[in-house]
Amino acid sequence: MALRGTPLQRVRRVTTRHLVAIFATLIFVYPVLWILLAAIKPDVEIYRQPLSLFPSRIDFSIFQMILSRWPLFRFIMNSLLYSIGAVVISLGFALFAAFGLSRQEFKGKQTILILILMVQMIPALVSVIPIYLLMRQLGLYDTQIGMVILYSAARIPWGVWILVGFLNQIPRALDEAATIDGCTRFDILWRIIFPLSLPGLASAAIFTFVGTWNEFAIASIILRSTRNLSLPVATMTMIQADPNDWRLVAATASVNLIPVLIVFALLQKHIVAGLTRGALKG
Amino acid sequence: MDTRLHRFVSGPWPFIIPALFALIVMRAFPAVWQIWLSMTDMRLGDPGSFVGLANFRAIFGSSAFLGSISYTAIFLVFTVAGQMALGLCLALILEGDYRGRDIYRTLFLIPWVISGLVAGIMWQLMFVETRTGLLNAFIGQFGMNPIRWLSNPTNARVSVIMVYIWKGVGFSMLLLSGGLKTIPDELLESADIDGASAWRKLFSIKIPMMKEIVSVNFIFATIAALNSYETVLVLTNGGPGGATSLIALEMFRTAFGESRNQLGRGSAIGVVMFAVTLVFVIIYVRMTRFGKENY
Repeated sequence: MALRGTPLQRVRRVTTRHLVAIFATLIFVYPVLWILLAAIKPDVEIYRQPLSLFPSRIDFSIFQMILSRWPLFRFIMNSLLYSIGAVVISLGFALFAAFGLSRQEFKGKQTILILILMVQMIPALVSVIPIYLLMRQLGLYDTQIGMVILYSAARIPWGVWILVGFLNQIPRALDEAATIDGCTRFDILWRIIFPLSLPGLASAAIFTFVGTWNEFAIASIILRSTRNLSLPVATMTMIQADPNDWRLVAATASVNLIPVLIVFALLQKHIVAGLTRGALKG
Repeated sequence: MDTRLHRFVSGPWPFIIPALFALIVMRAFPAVWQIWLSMTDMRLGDPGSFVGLANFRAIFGSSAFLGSISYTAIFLVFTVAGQMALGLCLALILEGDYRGRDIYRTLFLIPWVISGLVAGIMWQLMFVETRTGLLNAFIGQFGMNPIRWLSNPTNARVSVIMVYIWKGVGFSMLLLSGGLKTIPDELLESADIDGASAWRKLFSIKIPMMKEIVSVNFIFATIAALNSYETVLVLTNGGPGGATSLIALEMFRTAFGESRNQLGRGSAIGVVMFAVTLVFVIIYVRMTRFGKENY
């Protein structure tokens, strides 16, 4: 929609918008910026001049301190393993399911779609106790493979929803033509559907990655050993060991934040598209 | 090959079953199992025995649980209302084409993409209650006395709600921006010709025209708020004195708390949370095309 009114009214309206938007930006961004910059401030500056945003000089010593006490890279690698593992596995399962659900009509299709929608909308958090017991029963408690399996399963519904919406737009005539040419359904999935659904897969992958990278609640009860901890759980552990060291708190939080901010800055359109496809194609 | 088997194998099911199996094992089974668990007095290392509805009687007779229900209700109302109202304001600011709009949108979304844990950590630092704490230093510049943001029960309740509004408002903005785009330009233009004020256009055209997306936003925000856990865990851990004990915190504490370890009773809380969430999910499903037509 274009802005209407006389030129003067338009200028006034745009100015008001900028003022409100800048004010809102300050509220939204200031805490994030403060914590990122606090991690590289000299120690005393944080406490003496809490309101000054920019450090007088850059000081990475807190990271040396963290690295001398905690296996920080291990935590980062664990989180990458859990997140990327969940992306690859959940999207593999989801692409297969979306293929089955989008290429033909059949009895029970609507029921399956509704069930998947419902699973997607009910947070796993409400079943955290039985999930914890199930992981124990299966011997997956406090294991890396268990965490990957849990995160993968948790992200399948989003993937199915995003991909069904995407695959429905790929004409079925393509499948028919390919079948006549002697393609099996796996050929169709691999050679036709997979390349065409890459944009949908990209949205789903980024969405899944950020969600899994950020997940804390369930990991906090499944993971115990230091060597298995995901970054958010490790962050909690590190902070609880030294809650009054603001620099440590800021530094560990920053390590969690930076990858998400980079992914978001570069791929924001995909995240937004993934969200609207998953949430609104109902 | 048997024709029925052949038809099954060549049908859609072989593609769907792996995902379905994963969801049944990891999501559906735990949800059903929890109903059974909620009727046992299970503890870790002790399978316990069937106790009927004793856990439900116990939690609904416990002041800690009832207290958490009452704060959760307050929290839900103010968080969801705040997120939607401010989300609508931001969406309206981002309406129309002007320079910088996309940058603002990106920046408004930052609290929503960061993790709840980090948001909690961040605001815990903002809320430090000495004079040199960030917010206190800020209001100190205007001559105000330091505020006990988190250690006074009433303040803590408000602070927690503020942080959750801050965290979730971007999501509302995103949905409502999408909703505003679906309103036909001609409608607003003809309202302009009739001399309608901005308020009038908002309440008589824009909001009624996107009531569906407003409902979707309401349901998503409510489900998220109902299941809030990690931000409040970091901020107050339910304190002071249980003032900010959201229901999810109460469930975790009952099941996994150091001295509690009451998995059965925790499951009863989980079942209550599940049931309430399910109500909103069913309303949502009925609103989508599934409820309206035969897909």
